Amino acid sequence: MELERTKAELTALGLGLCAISYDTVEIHGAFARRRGITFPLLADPDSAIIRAFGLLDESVAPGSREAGMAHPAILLVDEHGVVRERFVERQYYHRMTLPAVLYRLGAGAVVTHGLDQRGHVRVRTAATQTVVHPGNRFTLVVDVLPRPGVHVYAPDAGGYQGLTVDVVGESFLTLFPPVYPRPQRLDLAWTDEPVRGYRGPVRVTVDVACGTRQEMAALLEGGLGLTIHGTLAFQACDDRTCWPPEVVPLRWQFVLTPPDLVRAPEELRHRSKA
Amino acid sequence: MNGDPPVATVGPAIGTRIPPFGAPDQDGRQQTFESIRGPRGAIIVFIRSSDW
Repeated sequence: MELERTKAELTALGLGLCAISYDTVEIHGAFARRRGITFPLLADPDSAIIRAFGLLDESVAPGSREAGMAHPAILLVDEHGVVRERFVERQYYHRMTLPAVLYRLGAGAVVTHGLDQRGHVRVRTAATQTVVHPGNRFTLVVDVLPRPGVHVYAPDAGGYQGLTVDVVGESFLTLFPPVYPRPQRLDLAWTDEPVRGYRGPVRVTVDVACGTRQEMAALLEGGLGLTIHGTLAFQACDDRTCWPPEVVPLRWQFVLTPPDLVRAPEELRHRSKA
Repeated sequence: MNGDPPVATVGPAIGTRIPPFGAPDQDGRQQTFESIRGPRGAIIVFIRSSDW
């Protein structure tokens, strides 16, 4: 389980970790033994804690086996019990991964997926991870490093090809809007007009969420992993020369692992309350 | 199940204090926020079920 792997990083940050669900102690016990989970899984079978946090999923039919389930959520709580960050997804099957959460908190590193040395800039693709599951929301990274003396333009810079990242959509992916750093004002020798862009390294991030295992069935059965494609468009200039706009293909390659479908022992399972 | 819940209003808001809680873990040990937190706090993950 991904949370278990991230525990050491959280400990290094001084953060504890627990998960809470409407499962019983016995269901959590069977799961923890099977998967080697050592962090606390708290049993809330009457959903009292889930309700107190305002996270009861009320879209589930009352009386059904799923009644009492929590809306998935990740909360960062400080040592005084005050919520500092919250990650609650729109779709019940989407989960932000812990590496993506750590990255948002400024703590997690990213893993390089590709490097492309162009004439005037270096382009690096990276992501918060290399292994993903159906439903995971994670972060793609594009680093653009202009040569010394070279600048590129902000996405909305008129008259030039602004730096833009486009990720290719797929039916089983939800794409979130790219996040660009705040551009700086470029004082250019050949114009008095203010132009906005970047002189140093530029990092663009794009969040992506995988669909359900049903939506990703063909990829899971093919065993080929998940490849995400995109393009980076930009125009590089120095103080004397503007080179033609460029479009660079981007590629991220992930291992796509199937979800854990092993059930709790029959006698421990949730029953319909109807 | 596929509806869009009003995500911004689900769960505690940033800057608010979480309610006190206590529950048994997978080994039956009683846990609270004080017992699970580190020196700088904790990540609390609400999951739907470990029995998918």
